[in-house]
Amino acid sequence: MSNTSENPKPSSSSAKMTLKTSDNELFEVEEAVAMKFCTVKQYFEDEKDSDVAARGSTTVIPLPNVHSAVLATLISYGKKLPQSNAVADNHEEEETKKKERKKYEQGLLKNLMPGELLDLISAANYLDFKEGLEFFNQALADHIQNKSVEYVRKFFGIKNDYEPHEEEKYREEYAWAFEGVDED
Amino acid sequence: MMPYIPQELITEILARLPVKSLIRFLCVCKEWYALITDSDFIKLHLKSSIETNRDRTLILNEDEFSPPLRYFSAVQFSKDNQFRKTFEIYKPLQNWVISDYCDGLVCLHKGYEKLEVAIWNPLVRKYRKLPIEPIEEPSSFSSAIRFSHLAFGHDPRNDDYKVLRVTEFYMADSMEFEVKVYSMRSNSWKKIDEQWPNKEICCQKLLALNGDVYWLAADRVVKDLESILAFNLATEKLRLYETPVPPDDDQFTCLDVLGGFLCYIVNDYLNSDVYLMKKNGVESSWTQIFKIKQHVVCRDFEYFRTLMFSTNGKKVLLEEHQECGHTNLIWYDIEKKRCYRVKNRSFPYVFMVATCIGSLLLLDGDNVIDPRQKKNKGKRKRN
Repeated sequence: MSNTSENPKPSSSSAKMTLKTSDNELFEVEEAVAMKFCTVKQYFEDEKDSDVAARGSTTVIPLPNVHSAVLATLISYGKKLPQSNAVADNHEEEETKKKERKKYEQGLLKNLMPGELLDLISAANYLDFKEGLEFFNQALADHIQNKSVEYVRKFFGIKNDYEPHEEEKYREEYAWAFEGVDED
Repeated sequence: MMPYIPQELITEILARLPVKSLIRFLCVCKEWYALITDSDFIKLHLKSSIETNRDRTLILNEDEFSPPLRYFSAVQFSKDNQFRKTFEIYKPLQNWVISDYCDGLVCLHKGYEKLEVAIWNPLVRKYRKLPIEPIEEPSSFSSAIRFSHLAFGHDPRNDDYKVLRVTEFYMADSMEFEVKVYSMRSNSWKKIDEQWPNKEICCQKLLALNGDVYWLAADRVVKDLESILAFNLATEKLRLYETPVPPDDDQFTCLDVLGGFLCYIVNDYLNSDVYLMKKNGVESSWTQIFKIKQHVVCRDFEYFRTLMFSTNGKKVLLEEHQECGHTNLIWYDIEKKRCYRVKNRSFPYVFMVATCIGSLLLLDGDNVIDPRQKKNKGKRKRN
């Protein structure tokens, strides 16, 4: 969905918005999806209030904190969410869509490097993308759930500020919590 | 370059973890220790556990007639409505019995008079014995027969966990009560001087729900009049509720909690009707949610308890007590009106279920040391 032209054509049917990432890539996104990023929504609404930008004109919303690869994933996830303006589906359609989304989510997580999760969470937080944050927070929790203390420290870049004897005391007291943990 | 993750996000992520992971991560660094043991975080984590059924564990409490065992049998319930393999949980205090449970904490007692009480978090392996509070016999009731009942619940107004002990005294035609409440915050008991109505407690246990303790009471003057009494843990006042239907002589009634609502069950030889008080404290909100016909269950059951809804709310888990004594766990599908027995050979023959959920409460309690754990000390690999 990357579009490097400086003046994207305004679409007549569904309104589109252009988002510009930290690495200067432009993404043309449907308004319905972009509005799930509350930061973008806020920016758009602020722009609307000031007479400068009108609908369909070339507003490019800068996202200096988000890299293109990350935005692409978030947009892709946003598209798969039930759209707020969509017609209500019947029960069967809803179930099918749910299954499709689950499959998509599983596929998405499979292809992600654990480190990318942190970037996605950071970006979703910046964009105030609630559903994305919810999903990726859960994915990260699932990922670290059975990991060792050392792995978690390395993953989050945390320095161990315990004295060796303090840490040893914990490991003794809660020995049961350290059993069955994934190998690093 | 590591992206910056603000503390609120770390909190959000950690709140989605099971208890075992969080206990382990206490030693990641001092900041994480402070975060995980913070009382607001513990509340947030508990709420999240309840919403997602995380660490949902059923303790199969064997009755007092079974040979005394050192371990409880327990089984974990997963999000997709499946029971995992049974495992064993070491009893913190041998020969103590489970009386009640709430928010991942289990209340235990010892002795008929229930003077010795303890609170235990099985998933965190911590417990605390309560100070012993004697029963004060009312004057002129020296040779009275007495029964003590315990309930354990959360008082949301004071954010405190409390134990309620109600002792009934019977002598000739007279009846008296002694009521005491223990507060976990103050670690002390206090006597309640409320005037109690002339009604007998007529059910096996008291139930704590949303800051109130409920029980079924039979009027001592008006025959067959059954009411529901509610004692509020914050205001320490009693309230009377009408039952949704007045039961007949040959019907057996009991009170339970289901899905966070007060539940009233009426059993007779043909049907069991289950009512839910859909709005807490509102009598008119009693709603019949289902009726099980005896023949659907295919065997004679004496009574059942409602344990919990399935994750999608379409089924109810019942603890069925048969006349022959055997206990079964049964899923009842509300829509299809069918029962499915949970087949598990490692369940005890007779048991009562105490439900636990992932909770970090009582982290400052005493450790429960499983002797089997001690044996493995030397063989453990560092990780």
